[in-house]
Amino acid sequence: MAFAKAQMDFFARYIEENLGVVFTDANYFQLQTRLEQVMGSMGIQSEDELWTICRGGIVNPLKALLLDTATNNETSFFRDKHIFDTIRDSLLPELGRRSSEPRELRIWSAACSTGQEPYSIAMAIGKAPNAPKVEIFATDFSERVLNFARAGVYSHLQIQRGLPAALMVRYFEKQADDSWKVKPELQENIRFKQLHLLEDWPAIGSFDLVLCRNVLIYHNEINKKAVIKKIHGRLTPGGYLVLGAAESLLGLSTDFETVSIGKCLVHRKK
Amino acid sequence: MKRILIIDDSRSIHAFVTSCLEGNGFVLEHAMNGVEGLAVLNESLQGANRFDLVFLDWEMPMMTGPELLAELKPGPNTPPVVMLTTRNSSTDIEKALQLGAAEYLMKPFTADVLLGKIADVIGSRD
Repeated sequence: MAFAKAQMDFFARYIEENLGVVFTDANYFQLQTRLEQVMGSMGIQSEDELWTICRGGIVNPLKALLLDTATNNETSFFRDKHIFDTIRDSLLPELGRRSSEPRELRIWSAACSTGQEPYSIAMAIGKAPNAPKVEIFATDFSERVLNFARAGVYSHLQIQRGLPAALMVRYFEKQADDSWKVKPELQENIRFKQLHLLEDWPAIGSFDLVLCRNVLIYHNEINKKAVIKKIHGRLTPGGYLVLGAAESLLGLSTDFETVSIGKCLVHRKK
Repeated sequence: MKRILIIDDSRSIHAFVTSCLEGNGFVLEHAMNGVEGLAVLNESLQGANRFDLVFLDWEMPMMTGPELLAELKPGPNTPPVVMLTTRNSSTDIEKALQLGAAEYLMKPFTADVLLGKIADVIGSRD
């Protein structure tokens, strides 16, 4: 059994209003799957039962679970791996040369999900000779995935997605249950914090490099423009924005110069 | 078409890898133990039909995976070897990498993990 079209419209509208994530007829099958996950987690037996609970207003803990499940937490280590070479070999050395005095560079992994992106950045930088001192600020709106990221324990399958074996044994330790836990040295320069991209941001300072990959694709144009404008405001002069490999700023912002570095396109703040 | 050699004494692993890779543009060859695998590999190094990647089990009759790695002569035409094994300690993984394995895949695995590992290994050499 599946939800009726009007019910799907209701959930889609609720998720867009609260999260900015857009579901349309074309991906209602994904929304159906997510709603089934919510039902499973809450012990709700049928679509009718969930509809009865939600139709008058969605409140916590169901609200948190629904919004959390509506986002896609699928990710892997070194996703679109060329960008990590570009960061290590080109962007960080260039950013480091801009000031005469050595200073700590700040990288923001926006929407870091279960942590694979910030840990991949840390591993990529860790291999560089004379690597600059870097702070990696990693945020997500979901406390659930942030707690996962902070713990840094990945299943047998998760650890094998995108992570070379040599780095796996260098930076992770096998646990008795065959999961792999990140070693403290890789976490030293990473700070995890809850942050909702669409809401007001707390005092987070400025960044030399912001990665916001495969996040905005789920948002409508108004929200995309708003988030990009806010990121622009947080970048240091000439700082870089990195989007997903299939994303661009066309029609969204003219405040950046898109440049080809290494095998990647990145966006430099004008 | 990329050519892949699977060296494993488990028929179910041959069948599972084949089902994962079917329709993805690979030509598969099969060896059921280390001795047979090394012979196929050495023969391929002399001819035109070289392999792009080898999956290698650890424990097999007659010759183990690490013994095969030790016998395999490194050279420009030697394909990268990916260990495919239930052994999953850091020590085992480090040993295989030291013996020349390009990568290491722990069983059990899924099709997306297998395809991802192939893309990483073959992609880094193209």
